[in-house]
Amino acid sequence: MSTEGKVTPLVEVRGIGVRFGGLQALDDVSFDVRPGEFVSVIGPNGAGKSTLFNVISGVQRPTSGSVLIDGRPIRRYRPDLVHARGVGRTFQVARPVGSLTVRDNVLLGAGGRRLHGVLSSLRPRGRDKTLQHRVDDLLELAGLTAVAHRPAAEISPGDLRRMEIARALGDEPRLVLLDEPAAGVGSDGLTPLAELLGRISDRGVAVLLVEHYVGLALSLSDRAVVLNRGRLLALGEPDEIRANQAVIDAYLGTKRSRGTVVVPPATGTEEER
Amino acid sequence: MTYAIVVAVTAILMASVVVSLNLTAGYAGQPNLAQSAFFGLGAYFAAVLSVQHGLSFWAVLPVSALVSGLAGAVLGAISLRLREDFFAITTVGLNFVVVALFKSIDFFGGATGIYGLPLPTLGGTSFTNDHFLVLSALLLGLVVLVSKVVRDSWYGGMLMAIREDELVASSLGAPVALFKASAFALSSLLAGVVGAVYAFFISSITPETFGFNQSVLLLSMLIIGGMGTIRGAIVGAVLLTLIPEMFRFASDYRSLVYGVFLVLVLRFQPQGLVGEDSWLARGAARLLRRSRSAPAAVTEVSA
Repeated sequence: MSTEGKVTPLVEVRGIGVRFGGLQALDDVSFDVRPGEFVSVIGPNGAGKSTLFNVISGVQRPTSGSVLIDGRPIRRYRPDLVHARGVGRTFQVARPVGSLTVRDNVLLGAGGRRLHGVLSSLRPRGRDKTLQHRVDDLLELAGLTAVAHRPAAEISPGDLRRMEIARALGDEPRLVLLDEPAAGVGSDGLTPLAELLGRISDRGVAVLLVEHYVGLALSLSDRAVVLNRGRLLALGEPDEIRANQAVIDAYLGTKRSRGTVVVPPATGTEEER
Repeated sequence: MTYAIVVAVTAILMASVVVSLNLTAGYAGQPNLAQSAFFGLGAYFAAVLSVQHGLSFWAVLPVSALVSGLAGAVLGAISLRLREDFFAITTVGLNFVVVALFKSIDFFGGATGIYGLPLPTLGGTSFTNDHFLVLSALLLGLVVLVSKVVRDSWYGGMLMAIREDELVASSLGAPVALFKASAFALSSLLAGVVGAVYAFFISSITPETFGFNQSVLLLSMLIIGGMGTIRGAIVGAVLLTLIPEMFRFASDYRSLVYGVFLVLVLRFQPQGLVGEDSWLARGAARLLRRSRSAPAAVTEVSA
């Protein structure tokens, strides 16, 4: 199965290439994400996953190719403009606004639409009833109600990851880009995280997930994109990916147990941009 | 008595400038060492327009606000291109440039400055020091009000996000460039108005009054009181205005006293004397909690 669906893709990546000096970080990568779809991006360190996220979220202008949201290309690569078109994101290394509470972090994420222009953004952020409810709902969804009033700098890595996801969901995006949400959460943090990812998907929000825990990623995904050295190695449903010989050779390895590919999660951090 | 009022007005005006500085240096986290220049632009335009062109106090206020605000927007635009440390150095340079312009351009009266600003009048009566006291208190109230609106708004929340991580702020939808530049414009606009009132109050101004040293002093006030808080800005400004008055006998060592004080605060109380989570702030919070039976819901860490 490739991109023959009749649905208009929510986000379409067309022949993206990114070159940093002599390094071709991404080379002619194309795929799409449909409304409500859960797509994983997997690949070894340095495959270009984070660069891909930075392009789609407007941080990095590609050297070639284009990204289309609802069929219209991104012209100005600016994160706030991409956000305004319904794409939220998290970061590979958690980036909380540490001096604010968990609740205020999520609240800031919910205020995106109030930020169009200085004057409209001068309205008090604590008095919007609709948004307060939305924030409470997101805190509960992410299992953060108990730590809601703690400064974001003080909570556990697992809570922090889920806070970033809740924050990214704040402004009702149609797609969230999640960059290694399982990194650093520890084994007891994985279950609540997986539950949260499932619930996001149930709400009809499309997810693009970069994750080194390949088993976790594939078990949640409708489709997966495999990158290797900046190039698209494979694209398809989880079973196809698990069986794909090129993917196994390049990345997954051959060890299998109970039908799940066992890959030790990478511990090193990839380049951020 | 008059002396006390003069010191009080000075302290209140300084507090107003430092509260305005807190918008950029505190909330938006931009190391701004040029606030004195914006304060000075407001003062100078007020002085020139009233002494040389006969405009009234009330007519020059909006001009001072506008000129300083525009200059601030320019600095804000510069801040978008520079990393924090380089930006700090740029603001230092900018302050020197502004003082040099005051000294060398005839319009600004040259190195001797401008003397003999008339007393403002209201309903036919000339201002006394008491009037200035009321006016400066109102001005401080205005600057505090504006700061509170900013602090509690989406805009202010995003400025704090920008302070910690611009990429996060923009990924949450904040137009970082617009927000930073407008914060500088607003902060300098307010400083300009305070500058105009200050010029009329002391009735003569010289370029050096608005030099780099003064900018350092303003930022020190904010740091000592508590960066990022309105109460910190006020406490810092009042303390650093009063201390030198109390230690006039040691005026030769004024800079030394400031320096030692600043080092002590940074060493033992880096959040500032009444800043977020300082000893005093924690103590006050404890007292407040004890006085109320039900604990108040704290929704914000950063006040």
